[in-house]
Amino acid sequence: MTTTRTILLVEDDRDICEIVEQVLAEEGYETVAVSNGAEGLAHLRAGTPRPFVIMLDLMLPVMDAWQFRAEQTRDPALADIPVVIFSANPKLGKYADALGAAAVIRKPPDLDELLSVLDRFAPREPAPEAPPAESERDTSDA
Amino acid sequence: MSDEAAILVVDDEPKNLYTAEAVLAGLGGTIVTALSGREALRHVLRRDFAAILLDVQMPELDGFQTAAVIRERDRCRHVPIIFVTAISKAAEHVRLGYSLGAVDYVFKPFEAEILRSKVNVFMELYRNRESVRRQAEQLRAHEERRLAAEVLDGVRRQNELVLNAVGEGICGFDGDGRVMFANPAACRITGFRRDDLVSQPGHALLHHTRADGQHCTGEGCDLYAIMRGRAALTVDGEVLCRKDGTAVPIEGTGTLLDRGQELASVFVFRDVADRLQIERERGRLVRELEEAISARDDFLSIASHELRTPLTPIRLSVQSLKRKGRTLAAVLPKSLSTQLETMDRQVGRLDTLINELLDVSRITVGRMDLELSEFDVTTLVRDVVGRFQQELDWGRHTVTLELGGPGTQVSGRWDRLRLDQVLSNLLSNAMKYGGDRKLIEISVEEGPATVSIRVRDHGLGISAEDQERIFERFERLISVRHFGGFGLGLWIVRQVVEAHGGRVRVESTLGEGSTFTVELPRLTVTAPDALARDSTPVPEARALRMTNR
Repeated sequence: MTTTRTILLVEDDRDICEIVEQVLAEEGYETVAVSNGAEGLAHLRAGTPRPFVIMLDLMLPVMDAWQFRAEQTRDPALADIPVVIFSANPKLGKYADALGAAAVIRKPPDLDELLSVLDRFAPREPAPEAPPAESERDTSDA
Repeated sequence: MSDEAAILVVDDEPKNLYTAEAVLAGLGGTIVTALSGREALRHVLRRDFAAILLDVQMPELDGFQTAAVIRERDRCRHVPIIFVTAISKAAEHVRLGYSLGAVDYVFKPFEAEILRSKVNVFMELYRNRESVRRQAEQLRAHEERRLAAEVLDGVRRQNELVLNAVGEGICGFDGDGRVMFANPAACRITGFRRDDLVSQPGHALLHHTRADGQHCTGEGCDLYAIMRGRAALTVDGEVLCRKDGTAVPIEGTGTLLDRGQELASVFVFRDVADRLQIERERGRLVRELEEAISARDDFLSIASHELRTPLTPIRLSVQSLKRKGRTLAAVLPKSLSTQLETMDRQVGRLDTLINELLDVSRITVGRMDLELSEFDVTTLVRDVVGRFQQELDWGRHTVTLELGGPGTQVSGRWDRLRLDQVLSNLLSNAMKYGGDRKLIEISVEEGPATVSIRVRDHGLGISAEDQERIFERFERLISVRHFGGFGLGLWIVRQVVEAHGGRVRVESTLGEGSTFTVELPRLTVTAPDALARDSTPVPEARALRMTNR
């Protein structure tokens, strides 16, 4: 696995972060989870690894999705990272359009649907063997 | 007819005329003279005479000829004619004269006393006749006046009845702004008695204080303009001052009357306190209702968000485990994979229920935004049936699909998620109410501009009176004790279909099952051969009966 399949997950629910990290690890993604927009920005600006896609919850403490997007689009180094809105908000479609998001994943997501959306932005390398190696998952828990 | 008795004297000798004038002057009438028959005729056509003194012997038109002509005229047919003739000709003339309607004779030379008394008789007669005629005329005029007064009185009484009967206050004002009349409603509304109002300055009495509580001088005041007869205006949001010092809100209209009339303007007004109260009350209720709806929608929105969030890790965990189960089949015991399936299905059901809850508020307030995209509805039918496969198997239902031949596409521009919801609801109803004969038939048919999706079961059926009810909110065919759910399924189906501009109907016979037909306009069509296929409607030929695997 390479770090090119890193996903930044901006999500304040700890259980959701954990399970997403786990299931994505099993699919060969590395997930960096942060709990609000400010942490997300800090992580992005720290440099590596640059994520292929950002999964962004709408309502977040400290800095919400709107503030985060404003900061991100203002920063030329970050503006082109595609954002997928990941929310249980009934109006997420409308908000996603307003935020200029590349896609939406409605909570609770169907795992297949979640993976197919992520595939569009961060294609998995052809799986070497099924099942994915157990060690992969362990390394992504950080 | 003239009042004064006049005598026409006709003689070709001016001397005789003077004599006659002198003799008759004392009688008090007018004396008109004529020197010829022709002149006499001109006079009798112009006015009435009490009598005509007519000389028999005249050149041209003699007295008899003149009399004959006079008698032909309506106006003077009955004027008494006294012939004047020389005494020498008396015997000869008298007979002829009477035959021409003469009433008397006088002989020249005149004996003044005889002439005077004879003429006087006719003047008196004339005067008496005139007097009778005048009296008759006066009587008639009097009678006419009396009748007119009666009619006027009737009209006045009617007007008064109307004025008394109407609920609107009506006040009349003279040019100085004084009240000329006020009807009972005006008194009731203002609290003044009629006597308090009449002859009083209207504005000073009824509008000394404005709606805002400030003293009203009359400047720029519509009511003042109306009461002074200066402007015809409609007034709303104003008040009248009541006798007890309170103010009554009114609306009204002022009308100006023609200048020169004593009555200069009329103001018709209504007490609108009740209306304002009702409006305030209604406004308050509407606000409360809007707040309640808004609070409900906010709550449902938050509730759905809060309910979906914990479903997220559960669903991801379950599906991740299921995924592992598929790849590690040997390791997972059968019971565990069954339990995972159940959990996944139940999480899906919870998700659906949460969506329905949200739909209640979204659809009720008309906020169902369709996200249109182009897709093939037969694929959607297959997807939905596929998703229900386990439930269908478990309930031992058989589904047959009639979607056209392999590769047939029935495309249109619709909201895919919403139509998925429609099909899911219809299919789940067919399972729920499908009875013992567990056959569900789904077909898709194309019309020229529409696409029909039919879901047919062979279960309980729906009575005619229930058929309309089942599309309402919170309704269900069977009592809540037998079947769960919110009772929103068919309501949502109808709302979604109608939002697409389509319709849904049910045909059903009790005990024989039901057929639900959803007819959707094909907003846009891309399938190039769609119309060609329509022209050869051989459903059997291209029908694919697909029994569920």
